[in-house]
Amino acid sequence: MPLDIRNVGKSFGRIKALDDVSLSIGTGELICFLGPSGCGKTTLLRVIAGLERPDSGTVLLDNQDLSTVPARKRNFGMVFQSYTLFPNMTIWANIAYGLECRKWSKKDTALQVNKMLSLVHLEDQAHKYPHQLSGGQQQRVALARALAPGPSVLLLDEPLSALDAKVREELREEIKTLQQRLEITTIMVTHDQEEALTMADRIMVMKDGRVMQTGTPMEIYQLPENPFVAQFIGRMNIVPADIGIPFSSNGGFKGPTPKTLGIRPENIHLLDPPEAEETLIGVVDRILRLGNVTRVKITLKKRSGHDPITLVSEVQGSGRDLHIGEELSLVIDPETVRVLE
Amino acid sequence: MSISPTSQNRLAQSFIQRTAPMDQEALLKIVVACMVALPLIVFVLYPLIHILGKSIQTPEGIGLGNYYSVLGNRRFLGLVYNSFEVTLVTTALAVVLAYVFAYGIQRTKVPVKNLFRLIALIPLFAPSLVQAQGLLLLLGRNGLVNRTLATDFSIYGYWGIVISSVLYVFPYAFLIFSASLAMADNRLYESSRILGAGPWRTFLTVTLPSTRFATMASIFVVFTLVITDFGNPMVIGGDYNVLATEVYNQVIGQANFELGTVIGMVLLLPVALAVAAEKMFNRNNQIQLADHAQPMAIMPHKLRDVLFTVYTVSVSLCILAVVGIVIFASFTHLWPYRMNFSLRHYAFDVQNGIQPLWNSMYVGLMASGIGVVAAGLGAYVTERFKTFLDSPLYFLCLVPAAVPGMVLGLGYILAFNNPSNPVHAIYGSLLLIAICNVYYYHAQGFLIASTSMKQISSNYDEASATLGGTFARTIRKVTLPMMWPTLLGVAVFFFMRSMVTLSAVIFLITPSSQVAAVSVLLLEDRGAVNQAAAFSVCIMGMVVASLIIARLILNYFGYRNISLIR
Repeated sequence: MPLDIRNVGKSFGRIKALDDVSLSIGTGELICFLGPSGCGKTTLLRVIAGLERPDSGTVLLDNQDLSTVPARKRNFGMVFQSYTLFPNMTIWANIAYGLECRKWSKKDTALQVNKMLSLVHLEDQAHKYPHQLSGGQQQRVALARALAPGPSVLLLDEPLSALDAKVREELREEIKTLQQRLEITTIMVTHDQEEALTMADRIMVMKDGRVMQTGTPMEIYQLPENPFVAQFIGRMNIVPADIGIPFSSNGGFKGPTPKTLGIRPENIHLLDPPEAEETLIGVVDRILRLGNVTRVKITLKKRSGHDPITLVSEVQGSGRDLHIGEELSLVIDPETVRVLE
Repeated sequence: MSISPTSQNRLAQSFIQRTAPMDQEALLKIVVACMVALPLIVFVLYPLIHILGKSIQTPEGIGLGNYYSVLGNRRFLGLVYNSFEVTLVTTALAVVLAYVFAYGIQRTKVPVKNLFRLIALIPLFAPSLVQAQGLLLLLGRNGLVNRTLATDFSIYGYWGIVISSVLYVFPYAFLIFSASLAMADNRLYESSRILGAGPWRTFLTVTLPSTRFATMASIFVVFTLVITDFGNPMVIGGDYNVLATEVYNQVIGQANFELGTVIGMVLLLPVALAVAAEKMFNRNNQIQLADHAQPMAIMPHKLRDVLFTVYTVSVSLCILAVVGIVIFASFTHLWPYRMNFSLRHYAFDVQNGIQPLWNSMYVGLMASGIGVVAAGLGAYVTERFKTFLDSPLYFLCLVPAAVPGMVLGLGYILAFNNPSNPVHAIYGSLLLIAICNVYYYHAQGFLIASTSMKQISSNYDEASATLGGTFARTIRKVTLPMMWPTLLGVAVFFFMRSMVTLSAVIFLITPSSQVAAVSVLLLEDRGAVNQAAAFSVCIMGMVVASLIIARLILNYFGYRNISLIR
């Protein structure tokens, strides 16, 4: 079901955790709230879940105001970062909990729990207790428990961050597949940009309680609207607009005169001999070989009126022919340069 | 100033949003919070107000006359001096002795540590005046030493109070230091060694600073216990009077409630300050171990280990001797004249017979039942409800810690011995004694429950709520199953304290509602030392039995790491 967040604000003492946040989420969409810790993403999720009351603004589900609906009546499924399976109950009882709250019959409950167990591939673990399962398994049970009552929205609060890297990647796939199969509107909070980029249909980037940008992963990556988003998602060189880097007015920048430009490292190409006079010339400062990619730090040749400017470029391969102190020319396609301010 | 219609609208809207009930549960939370607050107001604040009221009541009307006459009185100033002299000396001795003992247990290779730890805690299981009782049997005029060595010295008075008080408070200080010394990051000690510091320097630069808050806490706790203790000075003080015994003498001896309340108020002040200081230290300075702290590895060190073993054995022997002689005396025919074995004192051939023991048990059981509900609910409400009542309620739950037991008991007489007060219906009953014990020990019980509640993530409640669980279901299915071992611990705590306490209940007993600890005092006062000893032994037996039962239950369900003794 579509979910609307309208002008939500929330303060804790003097700290503004949420500052006039609005967002519309379509049915079956997976949206990620992405941002550094303390940006308000978890608070927003808790407001949506009904665990926190907003100071202002409303949350609407299918055009119905949820302001006076308590968490337990919202019919949202929630998965917490720290698993929070009830330790005194078996896996089976954990998954059945939400159904018992809704007074399902014994027969229907059994059918649904078994269905959920097979959905997360844990049929043989039903009678174990949470502490007997691995972290990844526990989080799959938490997912099954949240999905069992057929919630209208699924809320995931950093569901993968307590897991180790390999399990995290597996579960990422599993959640995405499950979400698409069930076509359930899903909100996931994360501080991991890779997680957001690979899983989300849309990403909402937040900072200090405010929305910095909302868009598809590719929009967020390729067309960041401000320096914060540009630097938070992937790497980006942020430079003043008047140092001679060519740019086109792509992305519909509407300000008066552009002040700041952003260039992704992979879009700065290095060519050996300095060619013509107009090209940018820099000196190699540092070379960082990462295996398949080589990261090169280059300081531009000084131009009057500017402090020395350092750019990072990424080139494919091992960069064997690069040397520190060597002069190179930088080639940048104007189409890939982003006007940020 | 004019308000445009739209902004008026918005104002109204935001008002409705803020005041509209989220649902009945929000209301229920307020109701439950008030249910927790109400008995605290009735059974703690209301009696205190009565004490204050009585203390400013003079024949000439309301005024500070009572205070002037007390404070201008030489004898009274002498009592204040005595109280502080005893308390400060005891505090200094007990804190140092307990620190070294705890250090021996936690940081050296003393053998059979668990046995020594248990011995250190024995005074907690006995009525609070057992130390004075035992000390008299050992060193009194008719004591073992005078009798066997044909000497004639007396332990009555200042030193008697100090020694028995040190033994009385020893386990409290030991528990605090033991917990603090158990937390140690081995890496700090290794760094210190690698940097070339010797053991003494390491102790001064690493160990001592890491236990300074425990030291402050135990100083305040011990100070409070000693200055308000009344059983030991009563029994062994002789002519040496202190404030606590004076309250009793004024009220019971001379029925002078005004003076009793004034002295009670004077006693309240240093106690309230000490408790406030202790809470302040505790709040700001919870020492926490770093995430990657390494457990302490104790290196053997022959001289150190031998010295500490000698020390722990000596202290343990002192504790055992005092309690042991009471047990021994209870089995003699007539101490100290006919020392042959006899069970006749266990016939309880005294006034009221065995009834006080039954009364104690009923009071203990009621107190543990009421205490678990009161402290558990208080902790639940303040930790989980997130209403505007949280911090006033938290404060209210801790107030009893600052009230000396005698002051609370005196307040109960003044407040409830009045037919127009509804509580008067249970005045003189065991139930009111149980309630008095619950609210006297409320702060400690509340803190035990609240600490354990903090360790259980509130996400469990939230998970239940998002799954559709009601408040009641969440408590029944999620919270209680996770909390019950702690709550059992809280129940044992209230039972134990109710069995051994004297000061809070001394003003509330009637001949039919006498409890065993008071029997010990009265019998001791009459010189019936054998019978008094027998009562003490029975109290200890019941406390130890309750601990064993609770431990067996916890072990059966696999909760081995819940500590029962606090």
